[in-house]
Amino acid sequence: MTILTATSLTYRSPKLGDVPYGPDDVIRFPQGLPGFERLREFLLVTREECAPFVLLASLEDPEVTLPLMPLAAATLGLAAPAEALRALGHAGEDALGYYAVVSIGVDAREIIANLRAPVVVNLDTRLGCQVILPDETLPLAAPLPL
Amino acid sequence: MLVLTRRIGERLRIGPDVEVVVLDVRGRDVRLGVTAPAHVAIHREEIYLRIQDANRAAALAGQDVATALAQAARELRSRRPQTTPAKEGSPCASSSVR
Repeated sequence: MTILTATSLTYRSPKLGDVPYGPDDVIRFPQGLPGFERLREFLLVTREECAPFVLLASLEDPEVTLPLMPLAAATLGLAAPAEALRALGHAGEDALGYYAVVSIGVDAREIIANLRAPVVVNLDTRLGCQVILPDETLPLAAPLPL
Repeated sequence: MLVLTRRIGERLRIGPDVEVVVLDVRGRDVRLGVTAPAHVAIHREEIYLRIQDANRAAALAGQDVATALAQAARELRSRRPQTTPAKEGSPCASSSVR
């Protein structure tokens, strides 16, 4: 009998400890992210105690970890222009995940989400990008909960 | 910096596949059209700089981001209106039922 196991890798993070992952877990941001233009490969790290937040952790620079909050994009009326998403490849109906980048102030009193520039991930192609939406009324710093 | 003078309707080529056209000039406002491949993101600089700042601030939020995030998650739950828990005896109340 042959047992096939997915290649198991370990992401050693000074902030998150050792996080096991497989090659299929990596999300590639071909353009990087504003402020982190040189970083390409990230993991979405979920922790039960951090829900609903997740962490976007850079594989190339373990010092860079961005807190994200999943957005119900349709509910919030957020839709990235098709040309902005073309670089993510073909996406099935439920393949696109929208996330707001979240800033946490001292003592977690201030929790703000950037709704103007959501991170969009195509879960089929494992490609991501941060899209700056054309709607100028969307806040860059929306206090949570929404 | 390369400085060029262009008239309305005239274009610039930047590399093989980026094209900039001057559409209109009215007083101090210049309308530009940009054509570029999908992988080239085009933004107004001031908004891009603000997103950069917001991302850097988010990444810096605490040296111990996991602890800060867990604390924020608790804070968020305490601010949200509580969802009504299932009533005792209702089919979903017992966690042991699979």
